[in-house]
Amino acid sequence: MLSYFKKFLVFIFFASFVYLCSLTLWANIPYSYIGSNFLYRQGSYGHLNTRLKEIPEYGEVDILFVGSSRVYRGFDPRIFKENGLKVFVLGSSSQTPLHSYILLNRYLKVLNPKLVVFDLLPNTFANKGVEPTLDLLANDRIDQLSFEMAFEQNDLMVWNTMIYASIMNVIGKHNDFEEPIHKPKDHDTYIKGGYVHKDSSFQKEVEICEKEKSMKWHEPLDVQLNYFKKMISLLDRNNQKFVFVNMPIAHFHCYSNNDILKAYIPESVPYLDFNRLLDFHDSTDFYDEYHLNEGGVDKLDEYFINEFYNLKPN
Amino acid sequence: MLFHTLDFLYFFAIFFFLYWFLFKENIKAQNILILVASYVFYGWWDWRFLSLIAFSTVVDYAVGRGIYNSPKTQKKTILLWVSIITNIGILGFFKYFNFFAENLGNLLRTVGFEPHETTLNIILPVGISFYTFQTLSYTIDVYRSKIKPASDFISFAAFVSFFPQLVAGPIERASHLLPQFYKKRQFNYLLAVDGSKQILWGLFKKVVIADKCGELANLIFDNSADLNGSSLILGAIFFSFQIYGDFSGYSDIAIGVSRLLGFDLKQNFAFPYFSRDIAEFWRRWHISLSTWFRDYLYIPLGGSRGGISGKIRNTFVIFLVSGFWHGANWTFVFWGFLNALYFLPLLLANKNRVNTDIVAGNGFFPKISDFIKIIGTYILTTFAWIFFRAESISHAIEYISGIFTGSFSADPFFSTNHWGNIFITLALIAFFQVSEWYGRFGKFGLQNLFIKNNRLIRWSFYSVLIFLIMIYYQTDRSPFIYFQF
Repeated sequence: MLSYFKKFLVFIFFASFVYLCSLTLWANIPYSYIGSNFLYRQGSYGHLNTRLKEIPEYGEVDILFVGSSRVYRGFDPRIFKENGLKVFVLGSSSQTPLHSYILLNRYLKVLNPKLVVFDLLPNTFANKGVEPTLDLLANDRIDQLSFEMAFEQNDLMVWNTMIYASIMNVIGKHNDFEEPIHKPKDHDTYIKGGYVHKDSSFQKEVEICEKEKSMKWHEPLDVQLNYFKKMISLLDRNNQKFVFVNMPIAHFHCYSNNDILKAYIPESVPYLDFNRLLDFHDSTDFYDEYHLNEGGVDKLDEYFINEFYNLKPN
Repeated sequence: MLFHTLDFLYFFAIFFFLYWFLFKENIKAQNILILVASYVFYGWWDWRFLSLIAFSTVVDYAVGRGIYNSPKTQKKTILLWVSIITNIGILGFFKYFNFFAENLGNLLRTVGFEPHETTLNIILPVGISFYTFQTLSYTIDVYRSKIKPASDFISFAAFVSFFPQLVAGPIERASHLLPQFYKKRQFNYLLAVDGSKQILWGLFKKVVIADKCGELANLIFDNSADLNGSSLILGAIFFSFQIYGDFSGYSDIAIGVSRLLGFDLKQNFAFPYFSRDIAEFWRRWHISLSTWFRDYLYIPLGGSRGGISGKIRNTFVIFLVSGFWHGANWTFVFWGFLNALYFLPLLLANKNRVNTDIVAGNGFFPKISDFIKIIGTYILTTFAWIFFRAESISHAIEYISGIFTGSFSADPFFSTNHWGNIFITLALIAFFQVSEWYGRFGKFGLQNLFIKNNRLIRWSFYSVLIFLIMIYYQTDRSPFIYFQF
C-alpha cells in the first residue's frame, strides 16, 4: 500500500504541473466559445481594470462610493469636482459585500476618504458573487485576499481563474493590459474617478411590472451578511465615517420588500433611500431598470452634494 | 451523494482509511463498516428509504435460509414466491403505481367511464430497480441450489447494500459477489492502480462526455419543434453518448472503487458502440441487466428452444420487460419493442452469435464490411434512443419526422456560442471513441492504453484527462441518468 501511495503522490505532483501548463494553453485559445470552468477576462464590463489602476496616483478623496454598477454609473466625479469635492467610485459589476470588503481592505487607506458611501442593493446580497470574483481576479492584484475570496466561493471556475491569474502575476504579465477608455460596443466611456458614462443615445426598454408590489427581492445569503458585518468592522476600526444608501431604480414600486436590508444596518449609521427622497421618473431618468441616464445622474449627484454637508464628515 | 462530488471524496477517504488501516485484519469488522457506510451513503439521498432496503434484506435473508433448510419442494416454492412478490411488489408500487393508475383511468375513459383519479405522490427510491433485482437473483439461485444461502446476516446485508454498486449497478450475482464478503481482502497494488485508472476513466466519461453531450441533447430535445433535420440528428447523437458516458461512467467508477477495496465486480459495458450487429450490442450494453433477464426470465420461458413462435414470444417478452424496467412510460416500452424487432431477424436466422470476437482483433482498422456494420448498428440503436429520451411517443414521432422533413443546413436557432459548444463536444466524442478503440481489448478504455509506452506518456494522458474533467465539471451537480431507474 505504501508504494501505491508514494506513486500516487508523485503522480499528483506531475499532474499538477501538467495542469498548470494545460491551463496556460487553454487561456490562449477562444475558450469562451467552447464553454469551460475558466474565465480570465481583463477589461470586461464596467472598466474595473482602468478604475483600479487609477487609484495609486489619484490621491486622497472627500467621498468614496462603493457598490455595484448602480454606483459607478450613478456618481459622476466631474459634477462633484465642479462643487469642490474630490470623489472616487470603487465599484464593479454586480459587486457584493464580499467584494466591497476586499476592495476596501486594499484601497481604503490609499484613498483616505472623509466619507464612505455604500450602496445596498438586495440582489448583490442574495448573490454568491462568482461573476464579480472573476472580474476582480482578472483585473486587480493577486494577494492573500484573493485566496480568501476564492476559498469563500469554492467554485471550480474561480479556482482555475485564480490559478491562471497567479501564474500571470508571477511572470509579470498580469498588469500589462491596457484597457480602452471608450468601448463603442457597450456605449461606455470611462471618466477619471471611477465613473462610467453611458452614451445618451443608448436606451433600453424600461420594463415595469404590471402590478405594484408584485415582486420580491431575494433573502440575503449568510456569507454576504457576514462580509457586510466584516466591512462595517473594517470601517469602524479605521474610524471611518460611512453612510448607506439605496440607489434609485426604475421599478422601485414593483417590490414589496424594499426595506429588506434595513434590519442589518446599525442604528447609528445614516441611511439615505434615494427612491423615497427624490422623485425619479422611470421613463425619463433611467436608461434601463437599474441605471440612471445622464439626467438622472445630474439630479442624484446635485442632491447628494447638498446632503454631504449635512452628514458632517470629519 | 454523487460519485463525482467532494462529499463522496471525503466520505470515501474516511472509509478507505478505516477499512484498510483500522479494520484490515478483521473481516467481520470490515463487513460491518461496509454495511454502515452503505447505509450512510444510501441515506444521504433519502433516509426514509433505508427501511425499504432493510426490509428487502431481512425478507430475502430469511427466505434464503428457509429455502435451503426446507426439505419440501412446495415450501421452497412458496418461500421463493414470497421473495418475488416482496421485491417485485416494492418495485411495482414505487415505480409503476401511478403509471398503471393513469393508464387504467385513460382506458376506462375510452369506454365511457369517468373514474376518480387516484395517483399518489410517490417518490421513487434511488437504486430500487437495482437492489431488488440483486436480492431476487440471490433467492432464485438458492432455490435452484446454485449457491448456498449466506452464512451470516451482516455479510448478506453488506452484499445487498454494497455502496459502490447500490444505486446504479452493476447488478451483481450472489455467486460472484457474496463469497468475496467471506474472504479476507488484501490490498493489491496492481488492482488498486487498475481501479484508480477505471475511476479516472469513469469520471471522464461522466463529467466530460456525458454532461457536455447532455447539455446539448437537452437543448435540442426540449426545442425539437423549432429545429431542422441536422440539429435533430445531432441531438440523437449527443443523447446516445450522454447515456453511454453517463451509465458506463458510473459503472466504471463503481468497479474502480470496489477494486480499491479488494472487490471484483463484473464488467458492465464492453465498448457497445463498436458492435457489428444488435445481438452483439446487447452482449456489450448493460451486461449485468441483460444477463439477468436471460438467466431469470428468458431461459425459464424456454429461451431459444421451442418453435419459431416460442422464440418470437420470448424475445418480445424480454425486450418489453427490459424497456419497462427502465421506467413507467410507454416510450421505454416502445424502445424495448424496437430492439426486439432489431434482434428477432438475427435470432430466427441463427445469426445472433456471429460476432463474438473483438472487432478488428488482428489489426488496427476494421474491415470495410465491419465498419459499415458498426455504423449501421449505431444508427439503429441511436434511432431507438430517440424513443428512450423523448417525453412521449408523440414527441418521438415528431422528432423523427423532423429529421426526415427538416433541412440540413446550419440551424439559425444556435448562436455562435452554441456552435462552439457543438464543435468541441463532437471533438471530445471523437477523442473518446478513438481512445476506446485503442483500448477495446481491455475491460475499460483506459486499462491498456499506452501500457507499452513509457510512464511519461501514460501519466501525461491521465493528467490531460484530469484537466478536462476539471475544466468541464459542472458545478450544478448533474445526477447520473440511471438513478431515475
